[in-house]
Amino acid sequence: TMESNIAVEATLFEIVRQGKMAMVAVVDDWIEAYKANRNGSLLDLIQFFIHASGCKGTVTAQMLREATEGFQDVIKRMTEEFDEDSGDYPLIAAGTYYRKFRSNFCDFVQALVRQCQYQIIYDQYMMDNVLTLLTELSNSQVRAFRHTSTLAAMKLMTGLVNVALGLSVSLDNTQRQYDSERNKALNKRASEKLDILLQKRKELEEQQSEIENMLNGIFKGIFVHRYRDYIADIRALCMEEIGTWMKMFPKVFLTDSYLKYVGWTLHDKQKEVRLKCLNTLIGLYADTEMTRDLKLFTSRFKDRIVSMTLDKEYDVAVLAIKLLVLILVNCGYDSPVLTSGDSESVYQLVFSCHRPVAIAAAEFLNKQLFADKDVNPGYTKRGRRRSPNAPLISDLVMFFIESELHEHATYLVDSLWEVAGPMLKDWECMSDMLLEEPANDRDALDERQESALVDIMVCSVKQASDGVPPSGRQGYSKKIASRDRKTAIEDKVRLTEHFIVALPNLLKKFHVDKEKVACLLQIPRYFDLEFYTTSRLEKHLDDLLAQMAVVVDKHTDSDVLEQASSTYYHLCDEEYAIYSKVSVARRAVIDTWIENFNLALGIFKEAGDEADEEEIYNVVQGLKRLTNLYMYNDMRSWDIYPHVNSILQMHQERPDSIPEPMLRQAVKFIYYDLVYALNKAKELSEGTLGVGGAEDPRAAISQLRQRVTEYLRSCEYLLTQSPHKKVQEESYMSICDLLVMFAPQLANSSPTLKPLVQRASDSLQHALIEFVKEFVFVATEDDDDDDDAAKIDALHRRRSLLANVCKLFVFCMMELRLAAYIFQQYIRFYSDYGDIIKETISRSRHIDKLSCAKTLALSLMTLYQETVRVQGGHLDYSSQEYGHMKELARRFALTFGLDQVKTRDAVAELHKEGILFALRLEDGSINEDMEAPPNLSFLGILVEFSAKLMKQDKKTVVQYLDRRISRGMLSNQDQSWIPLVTYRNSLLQGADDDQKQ
Amino acid sequence: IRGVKDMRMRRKRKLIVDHVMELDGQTMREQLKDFNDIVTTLDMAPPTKRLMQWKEMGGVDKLFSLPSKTTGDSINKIFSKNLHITIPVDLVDMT
Repeated sequence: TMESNIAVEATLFEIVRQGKMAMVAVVDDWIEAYKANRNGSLLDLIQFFIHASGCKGTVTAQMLREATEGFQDVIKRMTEEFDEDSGDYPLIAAGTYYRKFRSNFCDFVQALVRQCQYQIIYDQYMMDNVLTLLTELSNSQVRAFRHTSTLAAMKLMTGLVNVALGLSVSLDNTQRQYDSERNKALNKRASEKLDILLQKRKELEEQQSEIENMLNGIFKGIFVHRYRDYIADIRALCMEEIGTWMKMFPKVFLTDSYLKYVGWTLHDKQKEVRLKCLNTLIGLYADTEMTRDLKLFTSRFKDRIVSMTLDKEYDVAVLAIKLLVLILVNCGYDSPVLTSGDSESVYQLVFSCHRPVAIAAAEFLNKQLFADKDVNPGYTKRGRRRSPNAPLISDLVMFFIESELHEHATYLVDSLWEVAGPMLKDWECMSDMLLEEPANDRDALDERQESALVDIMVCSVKQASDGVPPSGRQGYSKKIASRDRKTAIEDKVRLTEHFIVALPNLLKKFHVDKEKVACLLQIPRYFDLEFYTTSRLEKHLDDLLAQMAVVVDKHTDSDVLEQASSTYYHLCDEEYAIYSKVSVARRAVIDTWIENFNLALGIFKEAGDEADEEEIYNVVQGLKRLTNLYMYNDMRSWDIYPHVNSILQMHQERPDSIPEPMLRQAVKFIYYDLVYALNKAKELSEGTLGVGGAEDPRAAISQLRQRVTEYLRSCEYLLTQSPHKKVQEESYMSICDLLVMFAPQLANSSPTLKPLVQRASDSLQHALIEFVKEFVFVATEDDDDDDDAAKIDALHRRRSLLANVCKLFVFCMMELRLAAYIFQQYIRFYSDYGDIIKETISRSRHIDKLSCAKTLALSLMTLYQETVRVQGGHLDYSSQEYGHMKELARRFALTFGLDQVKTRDAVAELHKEGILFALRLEDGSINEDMEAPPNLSFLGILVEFSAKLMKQDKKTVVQYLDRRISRGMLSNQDQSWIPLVTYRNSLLQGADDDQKQ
Repeated sequence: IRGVKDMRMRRKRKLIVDHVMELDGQTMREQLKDFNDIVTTLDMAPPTKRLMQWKEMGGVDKLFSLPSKTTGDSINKIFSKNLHITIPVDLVDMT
């Protein structure tokens, strides 16, 4: 019987699912069987589609015989007998079992059409039945049937389109043969041949009309309903397949009556559907032959495609931009498709934070601005031919300036890196443009353009050398291919060879311009320093060092000085042969500036209160240079400390004797002096310096100890007493950083440094918190006049200040309980500091659960007391402040996480603290029928932590509570006692559940 | 006969049935007219060098592992080496 057959032989479905046999062979077997037994094999095929939908029901020959209206009855029975294990069906099921089912299924359907195309599809039996079945299944409310049959029908249609294409070619050939035979002279004409050709044409025409009917049937009976199916997957597969038909047989399908479906669906709310539409269109616009027929479509839907470049899904945006690139390149219409406004909206995307979007936009920009441009680069004034890239680079500079979106070229360069790499790495050309005057004045760069070009050049040097995109870009894999690494090494060689020679000249030409200098000074950090000696280019090193000395001399800008400092440090590397040369040059610069500073300080001291602005300026700028050099370069050996410290001493004696900028520089300078001294002491104690150090470590340690102690005392004084915010801030930062570096942890790695350990006194700890209160947790007015970048910058500064003190909490360098104030601000400042506060809570919990819980409790209790005080002694339950406290408690409770076992002690501790606080009486006695204790309403907040208690602990907490109250309190009807009842009930809830079980 | 029951009665069905199979005309027309909910504004990379630095250095991880004052690697190393809570025994109770 039928059933035993199935049991013995694998079903068609099972064979396709396993995919061990080639689908061609599977179909061949089926065709053999069909030739022998039409009904039985058709039944197998019907059963195949039913099984493929995940239905386990069996279709019998009898069902088919008894069916009256198509397959309606069969589908109804199969729905009843579906026997599903879950809502999943093979097409969407996860896991290895159905892993390749989808592609096997599609292959099978297409092989079926291909291998039946010469006979069976015209037998008016097989296709009729299959198409009726699929049409009815595609109209079923059962998703598994509808989805599976739609996919089958779409693939079937693709197969049939291919057949139609074949027929159309044959028909053309036949017609041609017929025409040429007819055109022969009568005596040469073979009438038999003509008859055969006529007959063949008739046959082909009949077949063509049959196929056309089938195609129409599928399109009208299935596609036009399912392209708007409720399920996105179904819509997506329709969009994918219609594109195949258009590409395969454009004469018929690449028309607006079909294209409109794709155009409409570009508006679909689901990402995957929009992606399929765009992929379909990309397939079409990639072919210049096709774009001719897309003219109307393009004009109708161009605006929508442009809008999709800002799709909220980045993948969609990337495809939309790629599509616009094709439209730009391949639509050779009389008038351009894209307006300048369209192009500009794509251009701005090169500045997107999402790298694939930016890269796609850069490709568009490249096509518009640079590709296939044949501009004569012209000559330099000295008669040398300029690089072919020169006009392109000029255009890039203009674009960068005119786009006005970014003040730096980092991301523009990264965006264009892949598409315009050779141009961006033509440093010879860029240097030439900056150094050589062009013969034609029109090619000359103005000052702004020069600055932009310097920026672009330095960004490209950095990116070439790093071989990775700048930080702040997202949406790409961080793994660098080894190929890229190899390129980075080659690039480094090229840039070193070029800039060793060119950089001194560039610095010489632009030495007065601080922006350009700050950029250019970074270049040597990307050099391969071996080259100076191996290529005998030391002469150019001399030039560079001479220019750097000029820069330090000419500039007072912090950024320039910091870059110079960092570059000195990089060049002065003992591993390279150039070390001694650089070291001598650096020493000379430092010598000069120490001399200048000492001279200026002497004059300033002598002048006393009479010191004029210039005299003050000379001290400040001299010290500023030294401080910046100290940032990266160890300058202890000059022993400048006494001189700089005398400024602090003078300030102590007479605060108004020292101007604010001078004081601030002195605070900053001594910080570096102390940390480099610590560095040295550490090296000595760890023996990393080897034997024979002239310094006596004990004397050095004792001196350093004295200096740090004195400095911290000065900073504390300035932090609390200085009227200048900037001085306070500088002192605060010094204190926080030094408290870490001189923390007891120091003695862990270097026991001999124990005498250096510093701890914050109570008063200092409080001073730090006061500073945070005043300068970090500040309400910022939303002033529209201020520019956004400045606001964000200020916010980041405040974040850094807050994190400074938070580090001290989480590494036990300050009493955690003082963090209570910071924790209180968790919600109010959530958007600005939420991550920092949360991190502080979780790290301190990791270190000491109980202290952390106590601090959270303290945080709520102090906030509560403050609120009650402000509200005149009675808590107003309807106030915003009360809601805020409840919410804060709720968020605190959330930070405990889900693992109740891990946090049980901490949660219990928090309840204990809260209960004691709430029941506390001013005079220490309990009176049960009078007024409630003043803090009792705190229990209304403590309720938020009840759910965090384990069941057994709830009972313990209730007992703990009950021991401290009397029955009378619970039955007291007075309003003021209600929080007690509410809180107690919240504890009983879970405990009750336990009892019931 | 024992144990014979109607399967369909016993089992709660998991078959997914879509009572609405197509997006209706109104929905189709509206999505053509209004697609503001699926477009957004340019999410720009940091427009100044300073903001780029903050983006790199201003996250919690970096803020908790580096000193606030700019300096060279050797000093940063001294700083980060102390970022733990192990303290020599004889220093533990000193406050």
